[in-house]
Amino acid sequence: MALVVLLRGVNVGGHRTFRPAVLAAQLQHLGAVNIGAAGTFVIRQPVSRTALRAELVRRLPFETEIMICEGREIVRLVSRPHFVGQPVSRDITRFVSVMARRPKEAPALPLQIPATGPWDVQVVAREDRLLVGQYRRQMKAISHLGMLDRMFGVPLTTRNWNTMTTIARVLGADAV
Amino acid sequence: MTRFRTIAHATLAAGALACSAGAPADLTDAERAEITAAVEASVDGYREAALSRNLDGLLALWANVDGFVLAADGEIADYAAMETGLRAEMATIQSVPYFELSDRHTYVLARDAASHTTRYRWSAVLTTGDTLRVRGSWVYVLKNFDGAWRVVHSGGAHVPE
Repeated sequence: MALVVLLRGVNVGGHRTFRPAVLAAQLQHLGAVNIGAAGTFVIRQPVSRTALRAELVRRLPFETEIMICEGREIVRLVSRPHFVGQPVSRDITRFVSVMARRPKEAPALPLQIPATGPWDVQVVAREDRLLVGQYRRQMKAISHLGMLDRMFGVPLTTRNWNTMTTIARVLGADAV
Repeated sequence: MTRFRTIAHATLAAGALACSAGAPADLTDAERAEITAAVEASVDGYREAALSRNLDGLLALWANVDGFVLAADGEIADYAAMETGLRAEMATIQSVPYFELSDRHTYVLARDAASHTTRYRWSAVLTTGDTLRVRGSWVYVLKNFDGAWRVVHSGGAHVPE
């Protein structure tokens, strides 16, 4: 069973400096594939979540929230038509947020931020720990995406929908 | 009534400043220059912290004191709300390509108080890969706490670039 790792709050040149490609190379024995620069990895070799988490904690030069999903969760997610009827625009980014754990209570969906008037962020669907949504590409998106943590009561990390489709492609249907 | 309150607040504030030790008239030009440099260095530290996504460095500018407020884009936040928001926001940012300050003005209010106004423009790359750009102006009111200049009141706006 392939796993997908998403790190929260890391970057490529700042305080929490780390190089995703270097980490992927260190995890080569697990068949790790680095996806992008935000701390996203596909783990193709069988390994338990506990063992994987322990190895990541040991190798990362800082403490951070580590989200681990099953690959098939991502494949299933991107196979569904979550955005049917939604506008397509260069100014709108589709995203997936991965929650660190299942929330005890979650707001009803669809939800939008702000709650009234035109939306800046919209969450259209949820599959277990995965939220699917879209935001308008403007600076307010940063604070509004940050509000999702508080609304669901758990830390989460956000990636582009395209990153998820890339993960699914790397995994391939027979890998999950 | 609102006008009365505004005038009353202004009068009280002026009275408080007049009674404060080291009111502007008591300061030499050299002292003002020293305070101005220290205030600008503190705000520069925030800029550096933003560029390196150093959350501790960002929080160092803000004073965790009663009465702290941050006003932006029609909202007012206390320290706890600001800190919670900042932590969550930094988790959505992958990197900060640039953060520039310009047209900077420091007004020394007292030996331990000053305001600083600046234009800014900065850019953020989100964890989704999107690059967002914004500019605007910001006003900080800073107090000196044991040698460290920290913001007690702040306000500004974000304008898409």
